[in-house]
Amino acid sequence: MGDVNKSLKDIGSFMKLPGANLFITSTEQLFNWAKKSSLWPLSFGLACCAIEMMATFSSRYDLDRLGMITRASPRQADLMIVAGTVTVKMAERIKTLYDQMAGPKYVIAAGSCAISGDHYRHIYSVVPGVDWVIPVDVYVPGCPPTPEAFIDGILELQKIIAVGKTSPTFNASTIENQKNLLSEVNTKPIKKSENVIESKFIDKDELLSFILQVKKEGFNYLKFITATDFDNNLVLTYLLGNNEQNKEVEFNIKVGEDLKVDSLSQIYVGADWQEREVFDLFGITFNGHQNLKRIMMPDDWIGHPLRKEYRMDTHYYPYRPTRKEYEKWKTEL
Amino acid sequence: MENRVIERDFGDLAVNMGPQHPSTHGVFRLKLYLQGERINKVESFLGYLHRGVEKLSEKLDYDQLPPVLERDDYLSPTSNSLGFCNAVEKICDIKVSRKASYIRVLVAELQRISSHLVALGTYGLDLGGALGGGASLFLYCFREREKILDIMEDLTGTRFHTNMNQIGGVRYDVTTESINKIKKLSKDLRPVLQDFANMVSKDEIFMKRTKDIGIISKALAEESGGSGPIARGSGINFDVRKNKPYECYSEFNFDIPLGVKGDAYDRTIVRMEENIQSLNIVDQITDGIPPGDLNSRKPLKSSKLTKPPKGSSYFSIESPRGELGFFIVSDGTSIPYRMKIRAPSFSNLSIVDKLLPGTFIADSVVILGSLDPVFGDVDR
Amino acid sequence: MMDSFIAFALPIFKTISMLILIVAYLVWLERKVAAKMQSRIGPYSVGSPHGWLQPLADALKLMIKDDAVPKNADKLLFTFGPIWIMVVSLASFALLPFYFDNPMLNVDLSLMMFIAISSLIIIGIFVAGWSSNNKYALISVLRMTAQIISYEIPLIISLLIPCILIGSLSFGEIISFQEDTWIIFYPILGQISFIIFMISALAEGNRIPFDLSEAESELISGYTTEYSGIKFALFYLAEYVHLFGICVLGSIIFFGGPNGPIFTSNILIVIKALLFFTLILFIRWSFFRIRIDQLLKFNWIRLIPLSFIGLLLACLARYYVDFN
Repeated sequence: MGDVNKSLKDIGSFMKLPGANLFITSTEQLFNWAKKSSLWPLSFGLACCAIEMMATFSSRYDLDRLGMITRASPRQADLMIVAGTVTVKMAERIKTLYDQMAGPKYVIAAGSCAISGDHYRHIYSVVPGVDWVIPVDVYVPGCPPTPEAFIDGILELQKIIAVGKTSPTFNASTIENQKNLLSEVNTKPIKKSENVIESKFIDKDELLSFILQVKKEGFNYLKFITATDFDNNLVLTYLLGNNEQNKEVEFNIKVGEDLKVDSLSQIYVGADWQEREVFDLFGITFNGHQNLKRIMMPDDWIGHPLRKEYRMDTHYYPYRPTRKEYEKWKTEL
Repeated sequence: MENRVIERDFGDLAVNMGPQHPSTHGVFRLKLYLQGERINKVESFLGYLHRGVEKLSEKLDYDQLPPVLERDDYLSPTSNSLGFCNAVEKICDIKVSRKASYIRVLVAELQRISSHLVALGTYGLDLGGALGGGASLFLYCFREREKILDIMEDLTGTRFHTNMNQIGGVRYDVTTESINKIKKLSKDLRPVLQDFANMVSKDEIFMKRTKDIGIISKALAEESGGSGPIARGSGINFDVRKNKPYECYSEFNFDIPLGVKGDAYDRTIVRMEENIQSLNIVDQITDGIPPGDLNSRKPLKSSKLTKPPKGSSYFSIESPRGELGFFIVSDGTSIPYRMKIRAPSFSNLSIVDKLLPGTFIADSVVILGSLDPVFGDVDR
Repeated sequence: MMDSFIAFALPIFKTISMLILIVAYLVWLERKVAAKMQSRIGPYSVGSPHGWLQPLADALKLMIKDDAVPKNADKLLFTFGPIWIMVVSLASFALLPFYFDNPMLNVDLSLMMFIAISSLIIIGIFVAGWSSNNKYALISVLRMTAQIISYEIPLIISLLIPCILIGSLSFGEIISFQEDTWIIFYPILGQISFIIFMISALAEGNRIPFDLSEAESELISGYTTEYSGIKFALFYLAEYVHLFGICVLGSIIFFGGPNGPIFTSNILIVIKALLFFTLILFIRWSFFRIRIDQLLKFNWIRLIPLSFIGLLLACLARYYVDFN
């Protein structure tokens, strides 16, 4: 809207005419009416709240009544409903999407995760509120907000638009790309437990031969691979199932100092992602894995979150305005 | 004149699908390498909704965890807390009363229907777009789902994250009026589900788009850890409710629908059939809930007092997406030492890398939709 | 000078303003019908009875919205695309006798010319998709080109069948021929050609089940992905203008145009076109989308042979009528 307002106000000669003021005020009112009556949201959802958002668009609540139809392309959307937890990995994308939207654009932060991070706010990978990334016009509380709350939030936004308030501009170039790369070293002693897993342990070197033998017996169903960080060693747990005989086999291996284990990805298709997850979150390397990259965290992440020495709240924000900037546009709102 | 044929390899066109894309069912990114309309290579990226639930669970008490875990697989919240409570009860050796067990199963089965309805509705969006017949199917499914959510609201006070299960039993009782409402719902829902089944199985275009698309062989489904409708669509007779009966499932009569070929169509049909079977279970429950305690544990003064003995346990249940398991390592304190969630969507989705190469770009959407991933569950 | 200019411009102005009004309310009608089909209400709160101001609000908002041009787009072509599409789809109405007693341009080969003009739309779409420098748009226009080129053949042949029966390509004669019996009521030939016309009109008008170029679940918004503001509004409007043009054409060729059972008036063309449009709406909101290879296969293996059979039958019928 900025451009139109500006160009309208630039017509100095026009303003001298009698009644020009009235004309401009009424055109502005008309434009505000158009903007509020035809809010096209971006079809974009993150987590649980997105399901309730979909329910709000569906037959019983029907946001089409208010003239809202979803657009898949951010260029044609006016409204971004951030429904769900914003993670560090997603925050960059949300920023891009917001920048791609053509103005006038509005943002509704729906649900407590998008507002403040909710119970995930201390988690390493979660941004505590989407307003760290983009400016927000209306906050809709709830976990998840009911459709009624969604509609209330939208009506609230319409009121804001009707009086002509625009969202604060948020210039991406001024945002410092701060990265807290594990700057805070955990000084507290870490309490690690002794191994408490009681099921079968096999030797690390025997893994492949054991697996091949087990697979021959019909244990084709790979349920999961996971690790646990015990005192002195990491323990890998494998669980395999046999669907025909309805049996399970659970076994563990001690990873040892070198943190290297043979990969099962050539034997079980599903081991590919499972091992990547263990690599990502525990830092155990799998020999012979074709594509051993991080799966959950961004590629340049430092540390392995599920290790006991990794503090839960080791935050690392991709786009983090300084506190001052943040406060500034909060007050402008 | 000289005939010269210049052969140029222009390479593949790399197209990013997601994380914001109408049909990735959440925040998932597929990088498709296209040769014309055909997909040559696929790279998939996830973790856009990684909320570190497993890390969080190492800070919270056992009794605090069920509501947090319900946010995990957000289409069927109850199954998460159901699986977790069962896993803890297994370590602590707590016996749940039959009444509580019945109520748990009732809520879980109703949510299975609601989850499958969302799966079918969003599948409609994948096939028909938000500006076409797909949207109609989507809205019909959500219209019916609202009725189930009404029942949830009636039972627990919330529409969505019901928070029904707690360690040792359930939180709320079921009244006679609620039972009558559920009976009526079951009666209303059957013809509607039949309509939906007709809408998909008699639609020429739906058949053309889904039959022989994304065929998952038995071996592939098993080795990648596929479970639920994905495995059953391929003809693997595996359902935790039958294979390792938990709660009171052994008391009920129900069938396990199986697919033949393992294509996208079979998976859809399996889901539709499962809805009917769930309604059968719901009917058997509403016929008579046995009397008993809601919670077999005495009320505790603090959540710090739930202290399972040292050891580890794995317990799995059948969530709408497949085998949802909880692997809990307890070191004798009131918080889990380590909790691994065996997420069905994670394993099911890992097939996507193997399925997509060689198909068309339009099929990629169909295949992804037929796997029905929930990204709260995949990324945790 | 001025008088002749007014005489020249006034009908154009009248037609365009009338068209824009009709088309704006076609969008409203579509949303209402879709809502009814999906057990919703549809636009309601903007404008007192049933959101009647909704199209106005949408148009105004799109006009004042920022006009974003991608950094690496070809800026000239990026602007040229939507304008071309709008101009072409409006121009085809010069030949249609839908609002005034006579069309603005009265030529003998008016049907031929209508098809020639309306098939120029693909140029605008191609230019728009190509210049946006977006991969979704690129795939979309490639699909669209293949689709439109293929479906133009059965469309033209299905229109030729009535023309052979009538023996003229001019709308005036086509209308006067149908005073007693509409073409749709001619046994076999009328129905065959109408079905072919219907299917290929859906493909031409880019509607489900053939809206592959705007396949939302795969290609975001197809060739309009990068467009915002007024340019997107032009696309949106042009799509409906074009579709309405096809509906008017169908009502003239197959449903007798202004001829009615009780009275004869040009308003009947518009009413019939609206009914035809509603039929297309019902189809749109109840079908899934077909895949591109299936679409082309259906065209080349089923539709084109069928249309040629129809054409042959029409020739035989004409031969029989003329020489007996």
